Amino acid sequence: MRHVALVTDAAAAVETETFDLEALAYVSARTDALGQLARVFARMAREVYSREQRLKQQVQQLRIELDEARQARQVAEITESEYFQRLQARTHDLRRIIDGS
Amino acid sequence: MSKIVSFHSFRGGTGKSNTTANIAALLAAEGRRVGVVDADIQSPGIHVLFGLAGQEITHALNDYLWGKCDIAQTAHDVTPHLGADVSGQVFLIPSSIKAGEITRVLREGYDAQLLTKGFRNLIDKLGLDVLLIDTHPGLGEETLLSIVISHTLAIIMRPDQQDYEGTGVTVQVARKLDVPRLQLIVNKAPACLDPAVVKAQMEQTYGCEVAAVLPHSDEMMILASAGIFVLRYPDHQITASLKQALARLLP
Repeated sequence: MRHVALVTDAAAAVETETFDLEALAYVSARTDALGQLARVFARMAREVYSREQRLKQQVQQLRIELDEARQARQVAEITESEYFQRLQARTHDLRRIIDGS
Repeated sequence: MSKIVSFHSFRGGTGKSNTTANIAALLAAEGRRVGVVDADIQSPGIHVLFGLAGQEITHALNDYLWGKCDIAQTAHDVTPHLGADVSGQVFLIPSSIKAGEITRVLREGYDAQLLTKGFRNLIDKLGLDVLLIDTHPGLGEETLLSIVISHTLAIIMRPDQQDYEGTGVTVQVARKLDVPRLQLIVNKAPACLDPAVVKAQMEQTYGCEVAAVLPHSDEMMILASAGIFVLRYPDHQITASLKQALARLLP
């Protein structure tokens, strides 16, 4: 019965994300039905764990932080430059040349 | 009408030259005549992907800009180097890899109109269907010129924090120059990310269409500097995504 308690403790630990993958090693070594349950449980816990890690990574990777003010400053720095303004004034001519018209 | 597509990224290391070379190969496989200009005068490199050795470069873009040769003389037919039979042709217009010539063009600059006329003559003399321009990262003068004369601007980015802001700046600057077609290509996306989610999020963030989300690929990394991926792995998922990208770049 002590071993059954270990498995139920493990289930609670998975819920609170404190499950240690080694916690069921001893029970898993049993050759009876409880041993098999512990092994299946440990495998499931591992899968849940790795899926959660993947999801966490995904959320982290996709958080796009943009400093709008700094971005606007950078854009202005370019568009207010002498070269940009000169180029902008010539876009029509340059496009005519490239299109061969 | 011949189309001009510029490939740009705000930061280096996005796989821009690699993407350009692969799009060129896909076009050649469709039977088109393609010109690829290495407009990254400061740090040329795409010739390596086309298997062109430094000493094989007879005339570079620099020579044309200095009036030393005709633009057509700078075109190197790299079709035999593609590693597969294609019905089209790829011509590479390399930039000089000689340190002295790189510093000279940076120091003296060049005439925007002369370069534009050169591209036009190149299209006419070689009978090009498409001209692809591999630009220098950032938004320097020569890069802005490439953006102005392009029908499509492809902005290559990696889905990481370092690229988000610069990509935003590039999109806004390109809009101010009225680029007819603007497309994002998200490259080297980690395998754990769902491409559809990445696409939707980038489109929402930048208000700009995403032509493709390309996963990070070990095969591509290994082959990155030797050979053209799409011709070597015609059935790979990345090849399929690049074909989709091409359809959006040149609808």
